[in-house]
Amino acid sequence: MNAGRTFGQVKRNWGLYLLLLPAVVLTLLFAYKPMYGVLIAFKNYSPALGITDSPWAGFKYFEKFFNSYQFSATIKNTLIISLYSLITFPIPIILALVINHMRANRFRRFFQTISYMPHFISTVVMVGLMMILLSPSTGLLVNLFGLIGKEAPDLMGSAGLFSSVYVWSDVWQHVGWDSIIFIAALSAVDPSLYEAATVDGASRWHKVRYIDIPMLMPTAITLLILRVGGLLGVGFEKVYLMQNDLNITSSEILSTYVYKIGLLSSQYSFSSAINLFNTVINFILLILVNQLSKKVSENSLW
Amino acid sequence: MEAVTSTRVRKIKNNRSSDSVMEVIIYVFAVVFLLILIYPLYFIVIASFSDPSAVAGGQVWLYPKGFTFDGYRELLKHDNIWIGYRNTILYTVVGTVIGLVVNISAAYALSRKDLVGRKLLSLFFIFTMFFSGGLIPTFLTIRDFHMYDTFLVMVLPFSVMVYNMIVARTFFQSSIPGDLWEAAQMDGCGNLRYFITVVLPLSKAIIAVLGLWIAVGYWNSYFNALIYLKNPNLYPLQLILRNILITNQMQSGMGSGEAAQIAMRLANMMRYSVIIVATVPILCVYPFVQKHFNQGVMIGAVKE
Amino acid sequence: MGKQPQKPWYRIITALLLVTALIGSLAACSGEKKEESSTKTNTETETGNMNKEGLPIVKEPVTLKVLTVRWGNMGDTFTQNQWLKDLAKNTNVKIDWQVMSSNDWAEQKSIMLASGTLPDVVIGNQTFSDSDIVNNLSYFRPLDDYIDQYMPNLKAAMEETPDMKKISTFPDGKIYSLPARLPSRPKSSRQPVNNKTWLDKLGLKAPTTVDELYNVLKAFKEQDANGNGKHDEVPYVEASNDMISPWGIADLNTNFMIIQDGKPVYYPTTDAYKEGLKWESKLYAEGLIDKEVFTQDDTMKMAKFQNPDAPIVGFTYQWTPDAVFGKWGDQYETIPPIAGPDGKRYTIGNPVGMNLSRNEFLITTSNKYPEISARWADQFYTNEASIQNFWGAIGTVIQKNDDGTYTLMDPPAGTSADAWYWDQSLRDFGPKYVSPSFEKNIILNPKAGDGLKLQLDKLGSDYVTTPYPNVMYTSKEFEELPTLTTDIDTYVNTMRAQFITKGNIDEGWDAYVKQLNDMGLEKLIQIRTDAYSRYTSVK
Repeated sequence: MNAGRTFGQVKRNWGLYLLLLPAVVLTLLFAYKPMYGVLIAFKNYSPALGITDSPWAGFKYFEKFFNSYQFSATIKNTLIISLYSLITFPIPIILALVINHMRANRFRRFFQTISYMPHFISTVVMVGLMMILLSPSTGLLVNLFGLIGKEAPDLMGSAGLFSSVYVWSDVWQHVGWDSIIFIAALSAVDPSLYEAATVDGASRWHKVRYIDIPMLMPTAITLLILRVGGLLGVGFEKVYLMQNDLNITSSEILSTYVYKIGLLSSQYSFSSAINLFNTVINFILLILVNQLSKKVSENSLW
Repeated sequence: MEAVTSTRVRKIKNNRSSDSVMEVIIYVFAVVFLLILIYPLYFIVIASFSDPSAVAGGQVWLYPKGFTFDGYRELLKHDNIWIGYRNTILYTVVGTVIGLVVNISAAYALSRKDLVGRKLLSLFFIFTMFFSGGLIPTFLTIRDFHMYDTFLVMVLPFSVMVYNMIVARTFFQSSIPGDLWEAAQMDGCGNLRYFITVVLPLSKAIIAVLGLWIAVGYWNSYFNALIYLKNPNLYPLQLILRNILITNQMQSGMGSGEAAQIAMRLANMMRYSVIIVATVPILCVYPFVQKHFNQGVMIGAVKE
Repeated sequence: MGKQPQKPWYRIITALLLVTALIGSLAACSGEKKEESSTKTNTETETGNMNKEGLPIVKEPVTLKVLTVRWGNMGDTFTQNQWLKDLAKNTNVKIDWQVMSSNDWAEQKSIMLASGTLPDVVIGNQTFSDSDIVNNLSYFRPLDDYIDQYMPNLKAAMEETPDMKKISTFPDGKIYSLPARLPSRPKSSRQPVNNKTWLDKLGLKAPTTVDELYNVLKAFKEQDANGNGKHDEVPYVEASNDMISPWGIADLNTNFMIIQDGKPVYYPTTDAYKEGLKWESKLYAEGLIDKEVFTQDDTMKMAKFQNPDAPIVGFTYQWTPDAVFGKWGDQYETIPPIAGPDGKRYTIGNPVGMNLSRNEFLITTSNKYPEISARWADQFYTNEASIQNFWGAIGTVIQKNDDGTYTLMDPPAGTSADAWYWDQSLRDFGPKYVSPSFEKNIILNPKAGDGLKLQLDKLGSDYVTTPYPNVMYTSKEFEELPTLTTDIDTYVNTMRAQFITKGNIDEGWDAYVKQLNDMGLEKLIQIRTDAYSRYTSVK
């Protein structure tokens, strides 16, 4: 093995580089070219001066963030919500396995179609729907609790229950959608494997355990790594819409905080600094998880 | 020999009974799950035919209350919705085609273990998932390329979707047997021809999933339009619907002006019909996609 | 293939990528510079083409790019206003309107400011806020000299109503944005509204004190006031933080400040506020305040006001009751303010009238024709121009009578008056000046909209309290203000919700005040006090 052979390898596979070309060019132009913009976090950015000519601020905005009253609270809330939703990660996989093992084809197709429909409800409507159905005075929940003669909890107005409401409504909305990729991966299983397993007397459970799950592993681990890499990046819109004065102590997360400060006055540098902090943490997490996964399962992103 | 077969048969029988237990569990689970899923969806449908005050007041349960088509009628009064439909369909179709070509081909190349620089190229893409220059420099870049307020900005600059690329790469790695390429190579087949004639036909499932993801992404997106478009004739459906639906700022900004009250009443009326009107077209795509990953795409190719 | 030998290739590729990225970023930087220099050369003016007075303003037509923001999906129908059309004809100044929606504006605004792509003229005070202007002063022209030389109408208005000048003077003493004075505006903001039908049915009188109010709410709750046999009455539904106004806390601009004896006071730590909270907490505990007061959205609130089967709301604070309650509108009447424990009455509003606003007109530095723009803007500052930009053109919306009075025509069938005015005019936004003496020539229908509000205003106008004004902050203050208010306001609102729903006010009070101080309350009060004294000292 030497440089010459590697070169030969490159030459032989020129077709592959051609396949990569459009993606590489687009990424360079629209993702890498604007990256000089992170400088904003280290400058007193003034739009009139432009990014290059704005005066340097050093770590001023980072310090401001670390010293801010909300720093620890928002980080904590963000982590609670994202770790909680990480726990629900296997649910779409289970759903995919269940769907895969349904024999009645028509029911299966119907089930699958229904399960992914909630994904299309926009966040604004989704939160509106939650408020109506979970309302402590008139909602569906109140009626259900009424049946067993108990008083319904105020789900939307409780700080302690906020993360549960957020995460489980998310599961409801996206579980079907998220399972699609796993169903597709299962479709790649060679049916002759199942046949062989049946002949060998394997039970359903064994087939799931020894055929399906190994088939799903690479996809599942890849998605899990990406998910961990996005740990601090809990989406902003839904949390923001769900916030109210009663649950704010658990619902103020990084992204909503940045939004509020950024919106009140255009503090570009400050919000850039918080974003950069977020990015760096996520990137470190990603690298750690990726290394771990490489050791444990031989799956890795790079 | 005899004994072996009989234990086998017994084992299969045992498994049959445990299988049917599992079957029952699966269907019970499925039905309960289905109910939980369906009710809110059903609620949206009946709410779209109901008096909006009754809906928000929690009086709509099992059937529409104060049955009315007002929500739909009101929605159809906005003629810019048709322009929005047209634009969204265009963006979705063109964007999905571009997205599929760019991401699937790159993903395949990255899935090949004999690609020199594979690790670095993967990092090159993954890095952009976590690190971006932010909105302002990206906007300046787009503007410098004279793409601001054009059709192109809606389908090209953001067509590299690294997440999708990684998923596709994983699929290629785990589902396309490596010996296929070796066999093809022996036959003197080049990378490009192999990719088009062998890999793509084997990858219907992943193309279907990615196509669906990208299409739904384009169908639902409004943010890029908000930032990079200013000509209302280029606005996609979701941006137009958003402007009709969001009224809370108006409410606080206009005191309790009558106009704000009316806008809010109309928005409430259209809240649910909007979901139906905006979602039904993209829902129709699903059955076409679904059939591609129902089962066993691999058998034929491997046996040949 | 081993891993080791590949290394050199990695290095070469890395180097290549780095070089490409570097070139990319260099190109970006140079592109930006070009943009700036071009805006700087744009400042040359075209005075040769302009007439210093009289019409047309310019001999050869000139086109200005004008940006404004409208609510929701109102669109740009107002540009068809006949007065605006005539203005274009008479002045030779053509307008290229760029009309944005308030829903999209927050994102578009930051992009516009951050990238420096601004139009020639900006209209409407919801387009750019104080902080947008103060933080980006170099984008906007100081207008003092233009007002002096080219804007006789505005100059006269500022002499007649000195507050016009006061509110538009920025901390550096210059005027960057032009103000407006709207016609026929009331002094009181939201006023107490109760269900008259319920009172009559239960044989009660409209409440005048907090104790009477308590009894009325209690009766609403317990005596099946709407008579449908169900326990569905919601005695009080909150529109904003109004229930505490009898304690002297009337916060018009929702910045937690009031003026007491001429001094600005931060009220969430005062005893009056604490007492008010206790009262509200008692009401909440007895089910007299809407249970969902802190969790519902506007849609659910509206559903309560317009409940289809029977009215369920007893008491609330509203601007006018007519549009809020839908088909139950007839049952509700506005009443005088409720007297507090000290026997005094307070109404949220502004004793000088809620008719002044700033940031209605801006000229950017990239505008090549600032003098022409100033002269164009001055056309808006006559009485007749102002009413036509507030309701609609004379002949379409306004009728000019022979005796010198003005009346409003009826809207087309199926359209509400207010919506029609928004359709026909710039309405709340844009430069205007209606002099106090001219206002009495405007005759409005006392049954609806603006006319009705003026009628109802009389119930509360004597008790209107001076609000903490819309002061102006310096860019230095704007650096700290958002963080302070985000933290502190959020905490105050959270604690208010907790105190009202859970009680324990006496026990929790000291910890609450201490927490506020830890969050930098002192600094916030300092900024607000400084800004206030700057505001009052402008001559």
